[in-house]
Amino acid sequence: MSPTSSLPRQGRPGMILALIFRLFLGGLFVYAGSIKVLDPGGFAQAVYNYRLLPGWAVNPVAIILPWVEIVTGTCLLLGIWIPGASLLASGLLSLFFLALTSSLARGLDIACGCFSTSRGSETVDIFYILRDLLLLGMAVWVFLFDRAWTVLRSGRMRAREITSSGSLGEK
Amino acid sequence: MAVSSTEIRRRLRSGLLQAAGLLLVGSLLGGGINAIRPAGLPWSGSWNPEAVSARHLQGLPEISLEEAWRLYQEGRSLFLDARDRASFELGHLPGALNIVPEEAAEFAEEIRSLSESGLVPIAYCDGAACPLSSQLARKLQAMGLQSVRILVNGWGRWRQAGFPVEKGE
Repeated sequence: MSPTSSLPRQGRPGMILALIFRLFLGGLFVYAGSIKVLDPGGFAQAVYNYRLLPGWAVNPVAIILPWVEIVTGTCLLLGIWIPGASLLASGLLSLFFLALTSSLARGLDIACGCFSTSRGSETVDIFYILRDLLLLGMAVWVFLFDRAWTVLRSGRMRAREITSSGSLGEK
Repeated sequence: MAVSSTEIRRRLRSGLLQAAGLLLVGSLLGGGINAIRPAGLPWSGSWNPEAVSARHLQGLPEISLEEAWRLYQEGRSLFLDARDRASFELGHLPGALNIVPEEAAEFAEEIRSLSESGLVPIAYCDGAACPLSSQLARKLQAMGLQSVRILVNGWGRWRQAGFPVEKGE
């Protein structure tokens, strides 16, 4: 018996969506992180432009954040530690939401620094916030409905049950 | 498709632990690779307004508030306001043109002929660390307008000095 066949039927569409969202978000996070890794100075400038962090925190964030994005994205892509990766993605996207909203509220004329480190003509507007919310929704969906992790765990539990020769009553 | 609340709680618990682990892995990777790559950043960068302003200015000629004021009184100032339209309309330096960096090309000819007739183009924006005036000046320089100068934190200092400002378009 394959582990998926034991899942409730009505969960299938949610799971398939979760899989699609997971792979999409994974690719997006790896892409976004890589762009920033390629231009640390430009990304530090983008972080500074938000005027949210004290000066001493700008460079550490610019050094670490891109790699956290890449690690998170890789885990989502490969299906490793999905609860952690989707939770971290949700957390990051929530922080980005706060940063974008506050910059819009303060009327800052700054670049998003999301998928590009150069200034260009992209200025944070409502579209960036909606896009962020959409991605946040996907990440939460993955956290709630991605079953690969559950399947893996229940498979492992079943294996343990079998090896301990059905002694379910034991503590 | 409902996920039970106990399952969600279980996922949250292991998810938080895993997320902390991923943060750690990301930090170690970031720190490690930053340490060995040639383009690595220093951990403590100088992000106070003065240092940022100096970085923006690199190679651009600055103009002092006193000189800008003198040029204005002689009727030889050509202020270029690099801020957004809304800020400009709320108030700007006398006679200023509103040119965000992206619009530099459209105004290049006008600025060129005005500066040939003796006006001194002076770009400014708001705040010591504001990058817009430097971006504008750099674009204009690339179009051959070498005479553009920067009034650092122009809007803030001009107002503080109590010099006259204009409103509207």
